[in-house]
Amino acid sequence: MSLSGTHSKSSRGAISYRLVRRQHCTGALSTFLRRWGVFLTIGILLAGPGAPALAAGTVLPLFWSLSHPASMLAAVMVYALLIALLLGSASHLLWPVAWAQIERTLPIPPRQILLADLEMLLLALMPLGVLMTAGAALLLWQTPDWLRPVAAMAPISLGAVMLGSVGLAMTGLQHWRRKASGRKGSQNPAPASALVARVRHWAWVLLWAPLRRGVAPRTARAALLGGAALLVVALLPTLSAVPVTQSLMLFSALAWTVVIRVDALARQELEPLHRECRMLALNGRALQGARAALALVPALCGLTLALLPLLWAPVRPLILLLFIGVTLTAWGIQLGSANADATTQSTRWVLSVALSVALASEVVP
Amino acid sequence: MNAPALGAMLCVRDLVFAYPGHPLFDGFNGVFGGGLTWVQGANGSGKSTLLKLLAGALEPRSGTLEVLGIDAAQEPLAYRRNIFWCGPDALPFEHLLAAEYFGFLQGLYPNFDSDAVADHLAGFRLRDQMAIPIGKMSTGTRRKVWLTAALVVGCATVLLDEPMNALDGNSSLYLRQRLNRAAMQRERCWIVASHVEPCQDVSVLNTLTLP
Repeated sequence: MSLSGTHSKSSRGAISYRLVRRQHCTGALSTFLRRWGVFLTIGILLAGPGAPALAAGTVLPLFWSLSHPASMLAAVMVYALLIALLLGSASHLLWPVAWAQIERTLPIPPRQILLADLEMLLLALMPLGVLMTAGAALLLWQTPDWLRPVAAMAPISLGAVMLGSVGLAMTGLQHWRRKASGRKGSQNPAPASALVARVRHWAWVLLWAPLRRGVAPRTARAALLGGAALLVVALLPTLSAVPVTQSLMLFSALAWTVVIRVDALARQELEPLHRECRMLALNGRALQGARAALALVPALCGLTLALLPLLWAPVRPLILLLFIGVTLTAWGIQLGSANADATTQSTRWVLSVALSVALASEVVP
Repeated sequence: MNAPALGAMLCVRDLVFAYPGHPLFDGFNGVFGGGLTWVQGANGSGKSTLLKLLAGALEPRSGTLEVLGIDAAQEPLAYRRNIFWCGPDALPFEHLLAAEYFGFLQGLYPNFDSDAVADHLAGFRLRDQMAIPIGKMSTGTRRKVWLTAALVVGCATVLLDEPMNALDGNSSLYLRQRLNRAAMQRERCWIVASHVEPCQDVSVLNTLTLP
């Protein structure tokens, strides 16, 4: 048998790398749909009459910007960046980082890897792409007066957004791939006595160090980005002309998302480490509390800031108290119920966010 | 390292690699011939890193790697077609069935021996696991799937990192038998990294002890 023979492409039963990636992606998608399918269907049914407006709304700011070249360029870039970030947030579904080292050892042609990456990104982009294209078609079909002079530019700008977002997401994915398969990072060794003196509290070892040293990278990233986004939304009425009610509604929906996301990632990334510490003389509740605090701190800081503008606004005190009470209780229930099944969790999420946003809309008369 | 008894299959020249703040290989040279080479050393001596470097999972700072005269830097795909790495942990690709994983490898390795798969599945008692996703298998079973792949890919060089990890008694015995046969093969190079001494029932051609 020749060991250096050429590769036969007609091996029976062979599965291509792209198929492996596609199977992984569709598996993740079906898990997502099993959890959220019912609510998506209900949402589409409820939004039925308003669906065209919703679709058109996704491209409205882009088309508004077409009248000035500078604003058009900025809008295209912001759109592309936001969509790329959205795709990037699902990168663990598009390409699991655990595959990094083994993939480098397999004789997979780089072209196949690139094509598979591109295919997965296009697959992930498709729902939003369809929605935006439908919105654009709607606006161009019943062209409003302000759009008529620049209507020819609309499809071009949409195409540029799609191309730009795929390009940015591809660049990000390649960067992530290189980073994941690169050399193992470590700090220069510090004197042992200094290290021993620094490790004084379990929270340093089991919470802070894992976040700083890349054991729980996605948790750290989500907490930081989520916290920053919440601060921006909380400060919107102070920084711009956005009404307090809208800002509070947006805040309550976003805060809920941040709490759920950080909590889920902390469970995923930190809980295995904490489980290994069961045999240590540590209070399990304290570990659970520390994980919960991680999800709660950005939201609590944001809530404090979001409530500040209400000091100078006329409010309904009872509704305000109800809003704060419901929001905090919902966060508490979410963080305290680790083992609820997917359906129960998603039902609770939908109800809680709906109630919280509804109350937020009634705080200011 | 002892001089190889037969012609070189895998050549390593001036390999340099360091983790930040922790240099590991500084001008490492080695020639691996056909048969079985046992790489041993204490924890942290660089056994796993060496195998990852040889397989291409890690990139050296400098140095040359050649398998059957194929340079890893010049012809990375041809190099990888001739070398297979079985890592020390559980196999990734959790969403695939074991059979699909073998199908995937069949498409990548020209000398994949699909007829031998059934024998090794029987040897490792894996036959009834073929329809189970890899992610739902136990750690030991996932290791056995990966080891089966290593036995059938037909590469010139096969790298096994701590192959006995997580194996039950029967599977361990079966693997030792296969390694014993591998030691007799002169057309293939098998490199096993382990923190333990070579098993007494396995004939080892060379040993490489990392300091």
